[in-house]
Amino acid sequence: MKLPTLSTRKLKGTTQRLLLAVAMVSAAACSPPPSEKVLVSTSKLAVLPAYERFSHSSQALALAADSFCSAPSSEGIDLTRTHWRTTVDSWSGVQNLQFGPLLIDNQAWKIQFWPDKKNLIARKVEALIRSDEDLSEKRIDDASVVVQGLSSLEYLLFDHKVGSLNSYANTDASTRRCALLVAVSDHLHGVAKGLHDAWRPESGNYLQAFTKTGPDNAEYPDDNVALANLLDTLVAGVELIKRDKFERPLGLTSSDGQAQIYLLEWWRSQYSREAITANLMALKTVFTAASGYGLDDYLSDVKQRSDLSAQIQQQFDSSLSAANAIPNSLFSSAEPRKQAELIAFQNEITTLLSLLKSDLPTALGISLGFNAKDGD
Amino acid sequence: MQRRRFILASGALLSMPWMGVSPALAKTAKFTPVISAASDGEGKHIGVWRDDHWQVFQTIAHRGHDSLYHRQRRELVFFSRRPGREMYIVDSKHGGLLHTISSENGYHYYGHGCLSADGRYLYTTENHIAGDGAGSIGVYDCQQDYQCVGHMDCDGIGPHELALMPDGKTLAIAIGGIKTLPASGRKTLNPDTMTPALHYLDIASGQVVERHAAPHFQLSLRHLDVSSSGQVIIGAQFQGSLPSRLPLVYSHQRGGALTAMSYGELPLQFKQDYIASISIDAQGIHAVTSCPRDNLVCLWDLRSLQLQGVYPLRDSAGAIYDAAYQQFILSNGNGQLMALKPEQAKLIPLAYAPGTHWDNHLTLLR
Repeated sequence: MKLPTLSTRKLKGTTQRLLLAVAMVSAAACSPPPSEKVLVSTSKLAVLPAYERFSHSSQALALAADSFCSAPSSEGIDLTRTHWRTTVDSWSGVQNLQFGPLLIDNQAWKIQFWPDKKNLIARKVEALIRSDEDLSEKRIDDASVVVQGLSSLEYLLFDHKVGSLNSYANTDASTRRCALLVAVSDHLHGVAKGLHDAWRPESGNYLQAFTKTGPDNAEYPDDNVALANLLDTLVAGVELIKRDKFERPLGLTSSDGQAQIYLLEWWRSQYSREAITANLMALKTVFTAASGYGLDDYLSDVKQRSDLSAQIQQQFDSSLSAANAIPNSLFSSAEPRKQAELIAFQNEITTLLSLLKSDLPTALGISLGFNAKDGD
Repeated sequence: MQRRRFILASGALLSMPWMGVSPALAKTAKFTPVISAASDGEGKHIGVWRDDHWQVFQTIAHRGHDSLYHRQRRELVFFSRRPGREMYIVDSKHGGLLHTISSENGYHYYGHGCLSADGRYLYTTENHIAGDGAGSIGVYDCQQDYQCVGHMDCDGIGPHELALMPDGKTLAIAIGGIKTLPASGRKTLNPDTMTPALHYLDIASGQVVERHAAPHFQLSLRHLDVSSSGQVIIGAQFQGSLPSRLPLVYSHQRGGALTAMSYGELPLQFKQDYIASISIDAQGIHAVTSCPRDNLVCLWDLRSLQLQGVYPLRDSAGAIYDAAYQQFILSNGNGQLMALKPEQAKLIPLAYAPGTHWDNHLTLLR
């Protein structure tokens, strides 16, 4: 085996140094390189569990919807709403992953239609209920993504006009509304399970595609190309939180001016802040590979940037604290520009984005996007 | 100058016995050599990439942008990225730099050009700096060492990509609408009064004979391609608050209206509203558009004017149809060259140059 990292000069040192070098070489021969360790740990400890949680929580949601519709009750709808929230939490854990099966064939759109500027969800869901079409899972799969997924379920469960027990118990359309609730929940579980299966080693094994890079790998010719996708995930995720989930709907940037509150994610359920928190926790887990060998360790060991590694983790934590300190739902904030907690969160998330977008790519030696930044 | 380059960029690669395209891939995934600008750890380059190596390789001072192959003259023409003032003419056979052409005083290049039907003249999009940033089309005589023989007024600020129409007499010009002057770098000087458009210029008279304003004043029309039947596909880069939710890709036939290509109900597929390259196939059935900021490539059906498919590819920019192998070739900032075949759901790897960032546009050596 070639020893590219050790020069001949070093090997001419004392016996002790030689022994040490030999020990290092044998260790290197047995264990995978740090970049591969990052890919394996992050996939196994952050990505795969996130898909598993999403699949399981959507299954529990489907069961709750089914049981609610067999005998509509206020406890039943409350329980279904709780499972919807848990599923939003778990979806927020995979929403920002910028690689793999989620990106193929508009999977994300089947799960969430947002923002809904033209109020398409309400219109299309009501039109489907009014029609005489069969409301099966298959029908939902063929239908527009607008009536699919968590956004459609949010409308069915939380809309102030139709998302209450009354709509499921006492109206002419109750049966069809319930049938739609069940069909959309089942369909969502199908999508979530499909994504989990696509990653699982026992099934589609995208895990292998993402972790075993090389010339024969169609997508990832080396570890750096795969690592770049982790970097993209962190940056795109925090950018989405800052711009689309926070500043723009609340009108906190000078260029956008006034609040556009209906652009908030999950405004009907007033669950916007919670989803941001779930996003941030998931993104931090991607950075650290949970307790495994993550980008944080890679930064410290390979790039000698333990300072930046610690700084990024602290900034994730302070952003999370600032999000948790917002006492009200974002939707109910009367004057966002004057609410101190919102401004405090904005400051934290801005600092986090800057660390991920400017400092991290430089430290990793991975370009965030050569052509993306071109501007021509 | 010929040069084989196998850069071992990452620790992982060190443990591998060899690099480049695997024998299996090399056997199955073929492609016509591509012409591109690129950057890597050593600097900025232009050249021709064949299979797994640079066949022609030339280091230049600034970043390149688009290129073209002058088949009769066996010469490669490389355009500097704005506000560059150089055009490089390279011998396609031996790789030597034949000429470095500088723009006339008071002009700089926008990065694109095309040839006349007979190959005699080269047309380039230029900024007439001395004319307060007016758009201009430079005319160069290829037979006289690419000497500039004049300029035509394209009647629009910021002309970017242009193409010769199948009639051989008309240029289709994407008017970006963005006014910049070298004194203020790449800063947009007219953010509130942009007038992006598609212009057709009659070469013989030097007059703009047909014009279509972009549907929104901030929808900068930057890149285009023309099918053999004269269908122009033009792509936009939105300059306002993102996402715009405006259609970004338009189809046009002479005499008709600018028609938005439809992507159904998924406007947010494009969160960043930025189209880099457009390429139409030889049959005029499909086009691809690259969206580096959204890390994806779109495949369009030109008959129905509908989005047919979306392929994820990080930082993808270059796109060109390779008729010999009935595939689109895509390049990206990660050093990958990938093939898109409309009947296949996944991209096929063609080559990989670790550490190399392929620049915005690809053309073919054919």
